Amino acid sequence: MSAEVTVTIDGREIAVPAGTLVIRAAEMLDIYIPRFCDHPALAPHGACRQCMVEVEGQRKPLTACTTPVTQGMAVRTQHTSEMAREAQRGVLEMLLINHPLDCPVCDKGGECPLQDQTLAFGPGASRFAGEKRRYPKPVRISPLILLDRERCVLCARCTRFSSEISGDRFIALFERGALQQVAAYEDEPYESPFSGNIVQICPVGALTAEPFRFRARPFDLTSTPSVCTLCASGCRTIVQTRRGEVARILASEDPEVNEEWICDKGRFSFPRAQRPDRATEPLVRKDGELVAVSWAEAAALVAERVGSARERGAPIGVLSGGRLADEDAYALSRFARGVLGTADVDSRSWTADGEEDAVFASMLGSPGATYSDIEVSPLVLLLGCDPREESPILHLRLRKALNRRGSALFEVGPRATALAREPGARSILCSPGTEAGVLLSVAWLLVNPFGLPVDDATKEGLSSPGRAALRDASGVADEPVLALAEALRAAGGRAVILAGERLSRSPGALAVAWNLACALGARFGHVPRRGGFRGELWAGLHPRLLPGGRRVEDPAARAEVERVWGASLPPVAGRCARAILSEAGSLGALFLVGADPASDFAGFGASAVEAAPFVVAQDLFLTESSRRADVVLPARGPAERAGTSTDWEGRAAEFEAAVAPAGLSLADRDILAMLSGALGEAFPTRTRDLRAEMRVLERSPQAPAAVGAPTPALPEPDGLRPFSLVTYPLLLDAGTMLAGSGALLEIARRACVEMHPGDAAALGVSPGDPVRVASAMGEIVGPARLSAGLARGSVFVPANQEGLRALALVDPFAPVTAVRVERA
Amino acid sequence: MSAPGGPSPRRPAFAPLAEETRAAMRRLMARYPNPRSALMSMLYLVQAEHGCVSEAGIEEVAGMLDLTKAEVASVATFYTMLKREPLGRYLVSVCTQPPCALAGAGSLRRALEEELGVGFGQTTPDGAITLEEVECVCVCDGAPAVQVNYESYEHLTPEAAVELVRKLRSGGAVPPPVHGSVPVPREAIHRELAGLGGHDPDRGGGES
Ligand code: SF4
Ligand code: SF4
Ligand code: FES
Ligand code: FES
Repeated sequence: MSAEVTVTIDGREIAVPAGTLVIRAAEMLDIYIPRFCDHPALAPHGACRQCMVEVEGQRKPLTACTTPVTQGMAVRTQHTSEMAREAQRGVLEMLLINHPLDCPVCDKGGECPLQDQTLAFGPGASRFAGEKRRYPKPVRISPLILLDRERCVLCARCTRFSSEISGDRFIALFERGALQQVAAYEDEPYESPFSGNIVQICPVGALTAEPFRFRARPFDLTSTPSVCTLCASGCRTIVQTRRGEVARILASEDPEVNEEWICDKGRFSFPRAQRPDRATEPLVRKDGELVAVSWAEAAALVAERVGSARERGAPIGVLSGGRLADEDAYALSRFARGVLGTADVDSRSWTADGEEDAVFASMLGSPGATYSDIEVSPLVLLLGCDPREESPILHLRLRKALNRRGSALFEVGPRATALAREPGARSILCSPGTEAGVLLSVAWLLVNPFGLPVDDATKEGLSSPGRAALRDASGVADEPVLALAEALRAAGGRAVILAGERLSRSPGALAVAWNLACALGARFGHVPRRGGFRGELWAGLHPRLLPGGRRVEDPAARAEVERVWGASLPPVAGRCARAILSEAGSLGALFLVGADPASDFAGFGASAVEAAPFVVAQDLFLTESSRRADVVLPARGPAERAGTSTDWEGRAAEFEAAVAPAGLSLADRDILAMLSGALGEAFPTRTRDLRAEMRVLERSPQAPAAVGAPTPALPEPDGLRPFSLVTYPLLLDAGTMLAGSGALLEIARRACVEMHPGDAAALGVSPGDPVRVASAMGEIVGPARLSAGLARGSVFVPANQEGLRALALVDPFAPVTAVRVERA
Repeated sequence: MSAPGGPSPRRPAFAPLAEETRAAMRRLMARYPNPRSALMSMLYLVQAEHGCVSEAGIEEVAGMLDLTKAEVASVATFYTMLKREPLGRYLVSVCTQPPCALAGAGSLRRALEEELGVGFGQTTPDGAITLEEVECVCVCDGAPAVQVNYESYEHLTPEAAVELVRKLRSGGAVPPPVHGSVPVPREAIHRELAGLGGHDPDRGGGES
């Protein structure tokens, strides 16, 4: 790549790539140059002037953070140069002229670069005798973030983060000279799902977070490295506790994963631990009421009821909900299949066609896309996923690829994501449920006119008799399809195809996307919404998959698992969550382990939970589902137990417990071991034994293989005004894990009914007008919002926003819910 | 914008920009490879129409350039020739830097303040004149200097200065400065600052 140059810093020589900044080269020699504005993830800025060094041949000191090294350059830092020392002292003295020095009441005190560097490099006393500049304090630039302007050193890290990294350019430096200050526009608050990062990178106490402000001193906190499991991004975090309670969560650094950022959901939703609806002791329904009992009594009751169901041969349903640690997921799979002998296990809240499990089986056994692949890929095809809402760190990485690396992004779906505004991004809007048609057309172009060489199986997997009709139904013109095909041909095996979990709801689409990746030799990534999903999928919490992505129908694969478990497995595929729930009345028992079908499937799920004769809910909270259960077993929450979490890439990370468990709660794996014991079955009782079994069941990686021909289906038109409902949960919503998170919820977006301006005009709807959206399942009314980023004939309503829950409209039996839309 | 000390007490609401102004803004945007390069010129056009960079103008400009209001306000609050309070018809800028100060800028200031009944940063109630303090306007050899809508008058005595503002106020003919031309009213000067004045390339004629 770039040539190397040799520089001397404080008399020590080092060879570094040309273009390296002096401050970085010094770091390589373990020489620390004081700095405020410099931040390796942000473009060089040179705002604070703290990093002055002497460079031979230059009359004046230079800023080390903006000066690239040159061949033979001789640099002298504060360690060897009086000029550098004097310059740095002068800058610190100047920065402190207006600094309030209110360290004793400042959140940053104890971890403050200004404190530390003043102590190390600054003058001991100030010559300034005048009155300091003062501001009314603090300014609330968002419900979460407060700004104490007089503490600011104008380093512009926060504003650069907002424009370079997150793209939420709602803060800027206003005014000039001594009055220069960070500000948000009066009626345009700084609302960003990444806002907490600016508090963490502010080198002084100017930016503080409402949930932590004045709560604790940094030096009184105990830190535990952890992993956020609220989505599948896999962020490394540091959980900081005080007196046994979580006081703060910080982003930790992993260049391969979250770099050094996390989203506000991961950072600020911890107060949930102290909620009153937290399940803290085992509960059993007696005379219609849930009453507290001992673990022994609860386990005995479960054993008795489940034992008799097993004897009667009544089916037992086991549902998880994407919230488990990998070990817990594996324990649940082993418990369900090996102990309860059922195949009716599922962790999905959607129903998919037959190809999905074939894709998952091949995907779990082959290398998939990673964050790093995305960063260097010339082309990303994004399907069924809105990363900013569903996997925020993936959003940041895609943004980086587009803005810094000049990659291209195509997305195909009914609603444009926030990435569509970025340079190099292009959104192909299609009617919901027709994604497969668009992708098949792209595949046809690649394989036929473009002559992409593919084997017969792949070719078969990319053909479909219904292609033309489906393309027509998609409403997509020829040009974008051609453009996408050409881009994919050019990128070939360097392309990355990302499929969100919602793509499975569009018939045939996941299989085509997968086969397309196989045909191109491109990396494929599946992006689930919930952090535990990948681990649950690997564990076999899927009606057709056993641990490691083994297929139930494969006798050899079954035998491998049977050997490890010492149990014989049902040789048939089980039923999916929707099928289990729709026949809940005939179940012997229903186990809900971190699953809340009464919320995920709204009314349909709630009545199913009611109808099931015996419901055991293992959960952190008394949810819509668990409060309807017959037995509630309190499980430990994210920071309360050790475990492993696997992100969307399939990358696993272990974490430790950071706080003591709530009440009498137990880790899911321990509850399952206890229940197995009560049922008289052997079960591993130690986490390390579970991990050992999981290692044995890990498959050696194979090449991804195309799956059979997809079975797309035309969405059925219906009703008077046949709109299609597009819905998915936003990052900050009325979900269980967020309840009680105070200020964080204030930045949750207010729910609207989003529609295309053309459709709105046809219905006589103006922005803000109340609009009624009605499906066979129910109706809701919300204010209209017009957006050209929506396919014609579609309406978008967020799934679960306070006051407007589209979940109540979703038809669990149709891939696409048809709705009537009118002005209310 | 959250200015120091909170929002200004008198910030009149402005009508949306005239269609003509918007069209002029679009012409300015088309001059550059990156339309956002036209930001400052567009803000001068807002100032030509509203007398200041109004909230309404910031909002429109942000929308046209796909910037946030914060980004526009960041520029609008940085440059001292972009004003956030409505200007009078004439902006009278008194240089108070050392050469002018030594040559009598202090008495000019007192005379003008007395005559107009307003201080630096204020506008006469009739909306005719805004008085302000500026740093060196680069005619130090003509100290003390005063600018009227950016035309420099040199070697002013307090009497001459008072005479000058009286004429400006009454709409009478003012003498031309030694260099430059008779000050043009606010609207025209800001159009010119926007690059749409006498040398508007979109209207033909020579561009400097
Ligand atoms: S608020 Fe903090 S991060 Fe932002 S400019 Fe000021 S010191 Fe820097
Ligand atoms: S992006 Fe996902 S994993 Fe990362 S902090 Fe946010 S919720 Fe947690
Ligand atoms: S760290 Fe170099 S100028 Fe701020
Ligand atoms: S100091 Fe007044 S013009 Fe230069």
